[in-house]
Amino acid sequence: MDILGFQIPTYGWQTVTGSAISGVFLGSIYALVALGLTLIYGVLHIINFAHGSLLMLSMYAVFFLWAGLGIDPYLAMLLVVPGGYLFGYVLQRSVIGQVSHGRDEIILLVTLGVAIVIENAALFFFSADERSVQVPYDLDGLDLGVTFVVYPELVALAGSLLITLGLWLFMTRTDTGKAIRAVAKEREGARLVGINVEHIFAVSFGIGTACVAAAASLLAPTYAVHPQFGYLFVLIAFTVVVLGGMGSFVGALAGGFVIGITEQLGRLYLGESLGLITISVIFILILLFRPTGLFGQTPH
Amino acid sequence: MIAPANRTFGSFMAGLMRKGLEPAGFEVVDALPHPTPNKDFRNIALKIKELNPDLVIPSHYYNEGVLFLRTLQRQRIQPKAIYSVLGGASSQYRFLNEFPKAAQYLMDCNHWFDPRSRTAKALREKAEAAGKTFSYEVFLAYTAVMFTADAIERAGSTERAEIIAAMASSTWSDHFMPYGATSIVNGQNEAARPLVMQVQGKNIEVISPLEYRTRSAVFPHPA
Repeated sequence: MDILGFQIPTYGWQTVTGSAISGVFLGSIYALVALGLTLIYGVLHIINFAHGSLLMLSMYAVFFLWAGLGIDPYLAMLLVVPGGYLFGYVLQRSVIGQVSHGRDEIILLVTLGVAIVIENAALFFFSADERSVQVPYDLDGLDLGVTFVVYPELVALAGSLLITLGLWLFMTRTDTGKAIRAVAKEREGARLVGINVEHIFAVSFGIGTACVAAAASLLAPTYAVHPQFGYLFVLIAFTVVVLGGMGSFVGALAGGFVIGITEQLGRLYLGESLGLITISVIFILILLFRPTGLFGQTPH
Repeated sequence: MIAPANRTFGSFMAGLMRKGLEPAGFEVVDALPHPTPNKDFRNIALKIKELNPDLVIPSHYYNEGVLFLRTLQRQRIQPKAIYSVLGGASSQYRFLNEFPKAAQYLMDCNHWFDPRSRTAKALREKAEAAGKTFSYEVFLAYTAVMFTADAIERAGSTERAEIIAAMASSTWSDHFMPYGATSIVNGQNEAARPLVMQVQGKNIEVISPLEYRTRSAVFPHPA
């Protein structure tokens, strides 16, 4: 097919449908990574450059639990999610909160510094080797006709839906969730009614890190981990957060699916490298026409 | 069908293969370059499924190699052969140990040690006893160090220029690679030659050329 002088390849409907379905599964992975990011941005207004490094670190935790103790990656979630929460809480309370003095530009640099330290520590202690988890159900799954979907992909999709639901319930039904929302909306007001703002900051960062730890458990059966692993997903996760609306969980989920499907179809028709341009196009369009994102609130 | 990494190495290899394959009687049905690093090969797998080539020729680094081969396996795509050229995972014991099913019958044209060499056998046993796999990084680094040591000895000096001159005029042949006597032209050892390996069971066997062959090739891939 020739469009404006560009040769666009044509494919059978099975290939196109299979590509769109694969976009849904890829999108669920983006959403998983973006959920923690959007929570941290929504409450703390921190653009957390260390998010990818925390994902990588969680992947290593899952890998070593599997390699050392034989713990299945999904069961490892019971350990890495609380571990991620504690790590995030302490990191925010003792490093980011202490050093930043509340200034955005310092926070950006501190999270960038944390990312560099974590990556280089991983390189030093674990080497640059890729490490894979092997699970017995790696190849089992459902034949959808146009594509085969393995259980690890289905679990990642279900995980992204459940984590989104869980976060939404937590934020709307619990006192801590309400306190987080109060701090996000009006920091000083929240302090005046007795909310420990510093504690809520650390709790939010902890939950964001716990989300990324859960994502690591869900990604481990498919992806090998190495010190630069975080970059694979986290840059696109930033786009997902902007598309969905900063601080919106449903937005992160919807944004993940939109980006995943667009990217896969873009790569199908424009080629694997050029197709990635579709993500940048969406990013620019959102910034131009709806800077608050699909589900973001317009500031009054 | 060629599936190279979209980088200098992969693009160069893809161009070289396009140039060489058609005169040799192969029809290249498509070339599907991909970015490196890459996180998803399902589109490429779907295209392979639709075009149904006899032979898939990947050329990429280890991480992409693992993801690509596992994606083909997960999508139940089995061409008659996967013949990688300088493939990152295709003749790696680590990949074979971790994903033995995905690795079965993979062919790879790559640098490899002379399987008849006792020195190579002894070094492999030493590496494995130390818990390492006998990968390219081990035997090529070992060979490079031995080559440098030979050049330093012949130069009789540790001066950079003299060592380089000794390397350029080297005819070193006391190694375990299938290269014969070294012949450096413009910094390249023109006597170097690759072998073709295939994963068979728990081993990586040399299937070509004949003088280094340890097993016959299995082709096409058994159903």
